[in-house]
Amino acid sequence: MRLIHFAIRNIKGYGFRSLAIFLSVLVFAGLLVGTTVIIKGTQSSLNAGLQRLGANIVVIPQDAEDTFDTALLTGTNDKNLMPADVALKVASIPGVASVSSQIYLSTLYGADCCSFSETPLIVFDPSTDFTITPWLKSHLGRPLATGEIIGGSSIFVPRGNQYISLYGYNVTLAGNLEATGTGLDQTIFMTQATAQAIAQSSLTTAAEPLTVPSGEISSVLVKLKPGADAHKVSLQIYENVPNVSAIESPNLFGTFRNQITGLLLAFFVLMIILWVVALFLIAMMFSMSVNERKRELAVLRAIGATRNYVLRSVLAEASILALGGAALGVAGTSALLYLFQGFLSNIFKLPFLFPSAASLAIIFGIGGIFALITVVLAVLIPASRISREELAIAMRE
Amino acid sequence: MRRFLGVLVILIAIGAVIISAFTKCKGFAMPCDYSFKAEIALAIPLTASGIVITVFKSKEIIAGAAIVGIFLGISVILVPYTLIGVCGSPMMKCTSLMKPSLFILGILTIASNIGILYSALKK
Amino acid sequence: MITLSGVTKEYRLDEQRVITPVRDVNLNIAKGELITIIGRSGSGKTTLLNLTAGLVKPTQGNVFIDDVNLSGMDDSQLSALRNRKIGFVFQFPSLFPNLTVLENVILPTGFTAKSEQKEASKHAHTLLLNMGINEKSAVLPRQLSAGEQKRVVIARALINNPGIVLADEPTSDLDAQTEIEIMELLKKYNQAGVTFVVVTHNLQLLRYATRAFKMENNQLTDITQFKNLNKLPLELVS
Repeated sequence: MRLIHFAIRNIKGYGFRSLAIFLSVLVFAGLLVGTTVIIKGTQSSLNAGLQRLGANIVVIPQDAEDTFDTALLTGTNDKNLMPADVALKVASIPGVASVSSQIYLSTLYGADCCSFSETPLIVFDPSTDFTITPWLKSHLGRPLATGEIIGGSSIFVPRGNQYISLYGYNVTLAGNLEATGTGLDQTIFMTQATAQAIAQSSLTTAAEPLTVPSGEISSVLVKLKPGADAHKVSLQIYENVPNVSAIESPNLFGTFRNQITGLLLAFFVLMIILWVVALFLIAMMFSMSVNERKRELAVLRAIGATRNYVLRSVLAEASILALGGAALGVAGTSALLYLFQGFLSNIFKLPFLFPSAASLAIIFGIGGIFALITVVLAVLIPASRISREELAIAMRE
Repeated sequence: MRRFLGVLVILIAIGAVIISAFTKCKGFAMPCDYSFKAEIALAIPLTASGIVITVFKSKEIIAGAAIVGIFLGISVILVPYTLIGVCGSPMMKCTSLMKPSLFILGILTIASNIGILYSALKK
Repeated sequence: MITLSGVTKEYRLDEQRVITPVRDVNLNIAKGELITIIGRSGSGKTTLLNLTAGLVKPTQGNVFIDDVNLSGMDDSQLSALRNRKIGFVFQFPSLFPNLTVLENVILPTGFTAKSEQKEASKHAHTLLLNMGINEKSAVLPRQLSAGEQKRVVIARALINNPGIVLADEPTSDLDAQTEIEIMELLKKYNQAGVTFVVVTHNLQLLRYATRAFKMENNQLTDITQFKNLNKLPLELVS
């Protein structure tokens, strides 16, 4: 009989013990992979959000960093404004290749279901923009017309309609940007012309009119010349442009990143503790099981199995349980995270982008290997001990 | 085991209705509201199927009920995903909670009934 | 075939206490013999059997199987020897509870070369047929009676066509009728050329032996001359 068949029979035969070990590995592997997927997903989301902004530096009103971060991450409105000439001043700083200003608005709160309740609106300048315009070139092949918008990945035309109604004005959804897992997915992008058209219409068609600020902007996105030092440029912006904050894009979402780092550390410590507990529990369960089967394993040796065979048969049992538990734990947790990612993201206000298939495969692989190593380590000592026990004594027990 | 799975099917059917009731949007004439009503309509025959599986001993009847249960489980999934749907916004409870919950319950229904069918045919 | 030369086994319980179940035993067993060894519980019979099979190493002396000294063998060599040359019938229930009867019987063949494993199933069925339990080859051991389980153990002991079978109380826990059936089976295979060493406490089984011994005070005494008597002379009864 092959070793694997023998191992499977013993797993079936000692059902309760096998189930206990299987579930321990399932929970451990599931938690390990689950936390890794959440952390990886959050990091992916932050990176995707930064890429969407497309800027090396973002200039915003002074002391508005936290509001800006939150607005981008969670899709809420940032009402801070600064004079429109900030863009010109920033453009004159050495090292700056191009600048583009944006205005942040939002739809009304309490709109009908399946419509847009307090959805961020970003008004961009098509003549200077370098974030949306490249997407338009590649996907639409033309600029946006008045009355057209581009939506984040979560923006949609309500069922049964052809248009999206903003302040009572019908706009056409020309396309959706790729998901970032941040508030940018719930954001609508439009040109100044469209914003003005909506504002004009809202005077008569909306409960409250839309006001597009004149002479004021919410942010300036800065693209640097190749080789320019972002830190030096941002310092010069601070020196030369009053009442603004210049955030280098790696430092964007700074508060949130610090929180994530703290969370990472906490998760890491928790995982270490969990790993030790799992190791101990599994070692204890296997030790008990192997002790109960001392005589059986001694008989196996007596009829011709070597020590190595006995050790391998016990390790085979452990490995099958480990791989099975890990596979189910990893797959189950990932499936749950995938299905409930929206809910979790809303509840915990966490930007989250589900990792790509390649990243997932790596995470799964590492999770599975780690679970296998854990179980084998846990089992090695009792298995080795039993294979070395003097047979005559083992058979007496 | 058969009885356990039969009771599980009944609980899943009830669970689908309860979860839909609490996670659909408030208001009427919305896709998620129609999906909720459709889930009630599916839960009734699914509960009946679960009762049949639990109570009856004839393997043909059990197998038949299990086959019906499998198709009902598929329908539990299809209703919020394609047949009727839920609200479009991913921020809404019906999209983020009701839909995936029904998916999982549907899968559990299908898996349970496959197990029951296999057990009935094996004897 | 089997030679025990000055074999002693000591177990040290602590610094002061040592128990010696086997002391200076000398025994030569030729091919085709059926040896029975009787003795009270704790007299060292099982230890002697374990020494013969290489399951335990002697403190002094040597054990030879087909002129090969077991002391010089490592674990894998001993395992191979036990697998090919020695079959073991244990006193306690020794079938693997999660394997069927057939799987239990062919289990020892799993440690041999793959080419030999193909014939294993066929041979196992033949053995089980000879034991009269082939129709139960697909059941689990817990579904068998004590006598049937013993037959399966004997079949397993014979699956690799060993030259030697060591049987430790093969008829314990069996009724008188089944006891006789088991001994008749052993006798049948003995007559086919298998050497048996049978440890028992039942004097009635001595008559099956070619030679009989008594284990007492950790020493072996030849009692072959008394093997056909219903009871031993007073001087040999303790």
